[in-house]
Amino acid sequence: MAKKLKPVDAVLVGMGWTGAIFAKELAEAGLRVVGLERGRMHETIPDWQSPAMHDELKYAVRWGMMVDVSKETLTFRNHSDQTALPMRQLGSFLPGTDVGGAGVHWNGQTYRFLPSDFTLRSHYSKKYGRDFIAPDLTVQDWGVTYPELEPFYDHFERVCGVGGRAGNLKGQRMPGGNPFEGPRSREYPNPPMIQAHAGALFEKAAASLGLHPFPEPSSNMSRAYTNPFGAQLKPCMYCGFCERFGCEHFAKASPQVCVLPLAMRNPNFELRTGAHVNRVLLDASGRRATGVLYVDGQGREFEQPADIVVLCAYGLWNVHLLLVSGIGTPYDPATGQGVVGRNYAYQTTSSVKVFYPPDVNINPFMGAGALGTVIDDFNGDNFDHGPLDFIGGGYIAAHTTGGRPIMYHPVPPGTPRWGSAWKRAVADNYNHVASIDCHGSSMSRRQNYLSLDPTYKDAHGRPLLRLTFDFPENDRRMSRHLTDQAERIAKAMGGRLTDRSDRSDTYSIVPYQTTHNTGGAIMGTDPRTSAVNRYLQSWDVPNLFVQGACAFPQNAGYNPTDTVGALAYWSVKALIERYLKRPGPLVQT
Amino acid sequence: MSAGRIRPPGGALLLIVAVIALAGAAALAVIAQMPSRPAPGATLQPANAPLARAEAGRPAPATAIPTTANPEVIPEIGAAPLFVAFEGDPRAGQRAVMGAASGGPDAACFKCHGVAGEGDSVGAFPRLAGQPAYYLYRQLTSFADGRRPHDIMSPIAAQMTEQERRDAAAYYAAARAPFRPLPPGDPKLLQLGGRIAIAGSQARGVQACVGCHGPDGLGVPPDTPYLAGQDAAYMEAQLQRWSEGRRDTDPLGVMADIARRLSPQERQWVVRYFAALPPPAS
Ligand SMILES: Cc1cc2nc3c(=O)[nH]c(=O)nc-3n(C[C@H](O)[C@H](O)[C@H](O)COP(=O)(O)OP(=O)(O)OC[C@H]3O[C@@H](n4cnc5c(N)ncnc54)[C@H](O)[C@@H]3O)c2cc1C
Repeated sequence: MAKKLKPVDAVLVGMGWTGAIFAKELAEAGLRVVGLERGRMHETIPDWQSPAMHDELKYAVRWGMMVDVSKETLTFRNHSDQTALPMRQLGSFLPGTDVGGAGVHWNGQTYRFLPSDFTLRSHYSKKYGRDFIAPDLTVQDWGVTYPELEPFYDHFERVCGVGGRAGNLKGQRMPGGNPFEGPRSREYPNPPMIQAHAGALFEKAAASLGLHPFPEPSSNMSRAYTNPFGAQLKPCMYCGFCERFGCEHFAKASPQVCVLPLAMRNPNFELRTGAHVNRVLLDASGRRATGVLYVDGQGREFEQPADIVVLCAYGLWNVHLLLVSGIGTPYDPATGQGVVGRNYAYQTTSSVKVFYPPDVNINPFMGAGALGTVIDDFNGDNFDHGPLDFIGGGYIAAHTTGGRPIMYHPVPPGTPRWGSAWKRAVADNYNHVASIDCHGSSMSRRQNYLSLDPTYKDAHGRPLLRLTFDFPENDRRMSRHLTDQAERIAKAMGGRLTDRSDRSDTYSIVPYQTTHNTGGAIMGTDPRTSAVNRYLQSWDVPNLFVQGACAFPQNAGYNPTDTVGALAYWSVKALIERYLKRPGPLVQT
Repeated sequence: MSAGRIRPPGGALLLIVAVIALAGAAALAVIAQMPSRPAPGATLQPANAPLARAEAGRPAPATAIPTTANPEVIPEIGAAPLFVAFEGDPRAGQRAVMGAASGGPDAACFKCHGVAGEGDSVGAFPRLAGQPAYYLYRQLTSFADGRRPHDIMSPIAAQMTEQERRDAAAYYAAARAPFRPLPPGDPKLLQLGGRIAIAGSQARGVQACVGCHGPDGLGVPPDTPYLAGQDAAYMEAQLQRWSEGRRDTDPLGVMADIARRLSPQERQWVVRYFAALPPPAS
């Protein structure tokens, strides 16, 4: 029997990026807030200090900061006629656990989506005709526009101290930035990072082809920085231990460094770690959340009553919580009806490597999570899709994120997979390879969705989340085109050899791709095709707000977190300024 | 190997490819002009509890944040040279060290730093044996150009030619000197210093020293000096200089920030800890 605790005004499920943002803002608005986090507390000092933090085996190979799949995982299949099996080892994506969530061990690549990404269906239909979008794609408009989100992007980027160079300031084109981006109201808060050698080679080659290279927007600090809340960040040392690691230098934006201390010192906020939320509780009408049910580290069950519930558990787990709590109609791919689980999408990645002769040193170890030089010429609708047979696109970037000993050993095609010839090839090539990444969009389609698994349960007795996903034909075509462009640049980079890795036609959950899982509780203007309204408020349960990339109707050719952060600020503002004054639906149906 | 002997590796020319693409001198040219301006009214606070300006939870006015990056100080993509071949000849360097260079005998390095670069704790003269050559060269340059003003060193360095600086740096980088630690003192204080050195200080918002200076403070060539076995009084004086803005050899201002956050007492603890560790070239 769950012990019933004292009611609070708001309960937050998960304390990553979105949880920290809500904790600070709601506590400052005067609400009594409890944040429940399944993992433990950890922070810059003492937890992330090197050399302990530079333990590649512990953190990068054995996923020291990621969800423990022996307790909680999901099942996976490519198609509805298959039986899904549990993911028993992390692979394609690495959801975080512990305070800060994946915001601790992310890279910090901090991109805005394009204005046309938010109006995807109407944009393509208007420009290329109604029939241009393949019939199996269930892509749709977001219900929020770029101009509406711009101030919130701007705010989140200032919270993170993003370094970059504007390409479009209030409609005016700025040299050296991304000429395709939506207008920015201000310059980035910090200058770009010093570019790496691979980036410089890429920049030269791309420019020689008439493309428009610019420095990747980065939440790894290019200088000492104080954010709008007074939190202080320090310059990045380019140590190459960002992705999958916490930053020892206060140099990578994370909830712990940028936001959480503000919440923690506010007496209105209480953080409870080791608190695993299993369900959102509803009243008899099913139209009102009464709180959540959670289990602590000792296995004791608690009911935390609250007037407002905010799901901040990462997109995948937010959808899982909706499904196990019976909130909203689950999506059925056979009929296309229902909304929870609908429009799951991902990211379509591929790469090209350039091998240089021994006199060209790349120094991959001097890297940072978001150190890259990028072109956006083939992203979104920045290029003419008329003669092509797909929608979407992606950015192409030369990244130098770190050349760590266990996981970084690029070798030319044809090298044996092991043995002395392999070792020789690693030694010969380690310092002479530049990698170009294609970061392609992912369109939602009717057959890709999230649901509850009929067979497998987690350690808490709940049915596992089931992922049914394969790349839409549209995205395979897009990815081939994008990789062709990357190969063209690669060949102009002056190496002795290039090696292209296309994304295989069938999605595999084994090799790491990205932790950019989107959709499943998407936002929109119509409750028949979206789970939450444009303020991320549940259509069915108006005192429930659902954060994270699960709100994306489809995924753009960028990393998600700038948009996740912007949406969180957009949502929390509506909650504080409108919902608190007059609790109820913020959008009438 | 006995003290004072030099072992030039291989031939006479010590060729060090100073890999400085990112945090090093290539960055200097651009970033050195880019002091991060503290926001008006900002006070020094720990990085993780720096919240004084967020009055009553309200975000500070937007004007307190640097808004527009100055276009002149933004590094051009790929504009920075990525490799600097650092060449110095330790044999020629020996002449400068012994007083046969432009500055003459009055400028002989060995008089304070020792023939083997062992330093001299009586005058807080730092140990130089085995410091990265590029680091030493960069300090000589900074003494000369005023980024690291020093009554004794600045005139000496200013008299040296560019090649003499490189050679003298190469000499001491190749030198080996015995380690004669002073009595380490109160173990409790050593432990407090060790904690800051290897784990940082949560309360001060200071990251661990070893994150940049290497495990056990052994240094990270080409640009980060070792601290292990370095003279405590010398290190303390440097922290003082960093904190007062009298040493400006770190383009990103990391050391100045750290030195300001630590109390004078904490600085003493941490330098004593490093002074007690064996240096790399002993
Ligand atoms: C290796 C890696 C690199 C990345 N790099 C980038 C990048 O460069 N750019 C970019 O834009 N994005 C990147 N991302 C994605 C980014 O980290 C996420 O978009 C972001 O963290 C999402 O924020 P969130 O608040 O939705 O979830 P998270 O930050 O993941 O937080 C969710 C929190 O909820 C907790 N939780 C989950 N379930 C429960 C439960 N039932 N009860 C209690 N607590 C629960 C989790 O433990 C976690 O702490 C990366 C991700 C990974 C893994």
